[in-house]
Amino acid sequence: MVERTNEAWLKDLSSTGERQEDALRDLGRIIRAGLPYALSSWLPASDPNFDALADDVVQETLLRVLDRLDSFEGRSKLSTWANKIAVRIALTELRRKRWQDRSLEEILEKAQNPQLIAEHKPNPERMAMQSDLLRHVQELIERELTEKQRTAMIALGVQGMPAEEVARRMGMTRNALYKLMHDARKRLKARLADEGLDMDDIMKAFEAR
Amino acid sequence: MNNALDALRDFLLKVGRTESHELDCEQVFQVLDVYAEAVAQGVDVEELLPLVKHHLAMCHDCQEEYEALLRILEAGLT
Repeated sequence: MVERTNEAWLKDLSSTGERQEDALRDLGRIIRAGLPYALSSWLPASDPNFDALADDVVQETLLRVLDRLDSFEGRSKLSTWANKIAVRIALTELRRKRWQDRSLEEILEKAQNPQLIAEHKPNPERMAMQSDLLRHVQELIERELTEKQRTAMIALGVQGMPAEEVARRMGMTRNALYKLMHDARKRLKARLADEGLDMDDIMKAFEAR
Repeated sequence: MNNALDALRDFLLKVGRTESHELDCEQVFQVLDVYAEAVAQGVDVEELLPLVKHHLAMCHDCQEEYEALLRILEAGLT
């Protein structure tokens, strides 16, 4: 395979005919070779489903690379940029498959938010105080956060559902979900500060429960 | 993690680390290749791209994608 500089990649990929085909084949090989490493903690290369997934990811990545070539700024190697796109495509697919049978309703039902703290067994006085603190924080959350924000908080925190999957079920993008939760965190942080509540104390209350 | 209290704790830990300005997932994706190359080369990313590092600590999906990309770079393939 020919070693290419970023300039050479750009030239070859944006040309036509055999020259472009050669570049696409070479880039496809580079992406394919990286996937066993990228996905090692997700799907071992020995898994019977690996090859089909990898082939799909390579094809999809090459299409997206051609589509977005104009947006490549040359601040990394082009192969790293292409691998970044491949990783996003592969993990999106793996997350989707892994969580496809789980509904948001089922996850929220299992978590049953507000009553949990009250359910904990009787504590000595000090622990009761700490439980009061947790209960107060929970009341703040219920007052300050929207229902959407609280739903996302539970879904993200319980059982480690990926943001991408939570977002899909809530009919938004992962980016919009991040912004929604950033707003929620900012708002709550300000309220905790207003009330003079210290995060270390709150965390201690969790440990004591 | 298996109950709402754990979710609450996880959320509050993030509340404690919340900044008024944070990068979103798209902004991080735009520079993830640059960031991963810098890490692979041993550059101090804390100084170079502190906002990216912060986002990765707050966003598990982006962190997973960063780790996957880094594994490719560390295998010496690109």
